[in-house]
Amino acid sequence: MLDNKISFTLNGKKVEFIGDPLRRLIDTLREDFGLTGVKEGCGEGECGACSVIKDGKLVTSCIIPMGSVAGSDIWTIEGIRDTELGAIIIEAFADGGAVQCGFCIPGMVLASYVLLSEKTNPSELEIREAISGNICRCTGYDLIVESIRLADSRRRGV
Amino acid sequence: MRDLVRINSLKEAFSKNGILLAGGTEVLRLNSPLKKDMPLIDILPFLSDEIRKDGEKLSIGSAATFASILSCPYSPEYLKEAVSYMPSPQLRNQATIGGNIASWRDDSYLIPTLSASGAVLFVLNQDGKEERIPIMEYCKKGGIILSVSIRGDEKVRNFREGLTSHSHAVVTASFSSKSECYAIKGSGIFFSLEQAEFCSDMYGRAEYKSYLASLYRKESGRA
Repeated sequence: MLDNKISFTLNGKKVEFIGDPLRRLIDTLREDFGLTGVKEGCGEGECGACSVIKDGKLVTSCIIPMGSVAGSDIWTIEGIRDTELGAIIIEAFADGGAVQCGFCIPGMVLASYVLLSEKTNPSELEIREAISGNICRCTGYDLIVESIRLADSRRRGV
Repeated sequence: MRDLVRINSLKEAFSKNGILLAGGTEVLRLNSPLKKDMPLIDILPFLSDEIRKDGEKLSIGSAATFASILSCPYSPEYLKEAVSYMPSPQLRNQATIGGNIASWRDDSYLIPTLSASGAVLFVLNQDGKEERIPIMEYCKKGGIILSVSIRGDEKVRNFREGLTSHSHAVVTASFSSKSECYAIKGSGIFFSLEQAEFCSDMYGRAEYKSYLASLYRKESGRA
């Protein structure tokens, strides 16, 4: 059976894609759904700028063919920013001075979101491991790590 | 438009002339084996991602991701070490053990350690029959990998050199008391140093790669 109609959930809404199953998820998100918070860096799955959350796991959308998205639950920065935890992380990044050029930040926020969804009070090592697939050429990472700690403190009310 | 072929059984995959889609991390990268207009055959729904312990043996479903192997309490340390050579958590969430073996890359993360450990593959061959084969025979026989069987108590030493943690490996090598295996960038997979070939490319000169492989063998105590 040939099938080019792919249904999935995007930022909490059911959507449909009809087209080449080898089209990259990042292209579909940016060009078909206008979700330009998903950035393209290396195009090889290495830099993490195109990170999205697929079925609760952080993945790189530049190497995911649409064929493997069927039935999945996809979240991008545009969906996460409206959640309670997402808003806390974004505010902490702004207050903590984590953002310079900003290109890597959507991926960093999503990596932080997955980490803080799974762990409370993560260690510095756990934070650095969680963002190790997201490359930043500006900040040197320290302020990003501090901002994730700040977000964790704020969501715990300490 | 390219077609996504949904099959009713794994055997059906062999009757279609297309690329098999499982984890999906290989098909869109540089040097992808995918040709224009070749259909994509979705085999993931038929593959297991279960990791099962049976005495000292571990059976790993071919759809098990690097991340699930890393977090599994049964996974032996040598396998966890090789899995963590893949530096990005995002990639570890997507890449599967079956896909990494089947792509038979010259910078393979897992083939050297699995081969040195004596891993056996449970494969559906092109005749539609299931068979068990040593991993070193897979490059000749092919087929769809269903699961990987390893011994948890095997002692394996892994070595890897890449220009950066995110770079493809120049040389990956693994050693046990019984065997050795090398993944040499630009040349391929080799099951003894004597058979290994080396070439000069952007990853390094042939002499450099040969030096690394010899050094690793010496450090492993097999020299």
